[in-house]
Amino acid sequence: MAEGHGDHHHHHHGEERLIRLEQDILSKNNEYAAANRRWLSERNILALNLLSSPGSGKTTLLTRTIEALRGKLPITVIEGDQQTDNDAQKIRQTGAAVQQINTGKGCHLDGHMVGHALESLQPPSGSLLFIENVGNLVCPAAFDLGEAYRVVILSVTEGEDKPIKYPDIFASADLLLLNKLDLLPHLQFDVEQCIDYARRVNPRIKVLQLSATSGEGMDSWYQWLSATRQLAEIGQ
Amino acid sequence: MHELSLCQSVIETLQRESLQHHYQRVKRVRLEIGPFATVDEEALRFAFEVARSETLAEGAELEIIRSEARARCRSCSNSFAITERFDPCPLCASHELELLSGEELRIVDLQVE
Repeated sequence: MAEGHGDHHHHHHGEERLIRLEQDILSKNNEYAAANRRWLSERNILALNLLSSPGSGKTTLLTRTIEALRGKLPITVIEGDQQTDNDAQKIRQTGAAVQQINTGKGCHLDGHMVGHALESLQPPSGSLLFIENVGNLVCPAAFDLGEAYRVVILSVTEGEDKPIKYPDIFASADLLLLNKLDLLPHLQFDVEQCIDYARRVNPRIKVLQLSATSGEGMDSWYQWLSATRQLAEIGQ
Repeated sequence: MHELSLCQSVIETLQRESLQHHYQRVKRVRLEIGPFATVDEEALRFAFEVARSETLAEGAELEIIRSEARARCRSCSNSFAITERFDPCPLCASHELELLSGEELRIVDLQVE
């Protein structure tokens, strides 16, 4: 190769130099997320990014929510899992449209994957879209998907100190659902302490206590969903 | 281990920038990582070794600048350095804090040829 061939910067090959980039590593993901957000808002779709550890009861919460809101609000689901479509099948049985994303070894969903899922799923205008992220309280925190709100689900069978053990995910969440409340009598889980920890990390976080199995507290969750959807509509 | 996808995204940026800045090889990459960037430094270094192989950054050195996290108290307006997200304001003990820095995840500069 000729030295400096057509290169208006006239840099000779083999010559070392410093290039200042000052570029956000997540900028590409953020571009995909922004495109998703635009696409969703044009169609007046409320998208929620659901985050939790494995086994927090996310899928039960989703199936119960879909059944409770049937006929009131169209709901579609993007289901992220490393392997299998077991959860997607459970949700499909409720009649809701589901798009599965198998991330393989990937520990989180990203904006690009969700963009493709939206194209296949084609959620209807004015609907509610649940994006069930991979069960993991660390990695998904960094990746914006284009959602309107982030919802963390924590079950009382886990430690009450999870909000301070995994502060990044709680800091970025809008709503905390404290699930499996029906098991509380059998456990030593300090609800007040857990909420206090969550508020130390994120003073704005809203907390709802519920049980997707017994149905206790689920009405306040449905109210939050419908109020949030109305707010989103007014915001258009 | 989302550190691998972060490093793959760094390598993609290096490849994209090589067209604009006309370089063939990257010798060193400097990243700025905030304490609340959800990144484990050891995992990031390991992932970088995996991601750089057979690319224009093969053998490139990874330098990490750890930035400082700072917050401002919404109650008393004090601004201070924090080490954990749940640290209270050292003056008034409030948790009503606004994070000023600490989530940085940035490519600062490159040594290229």
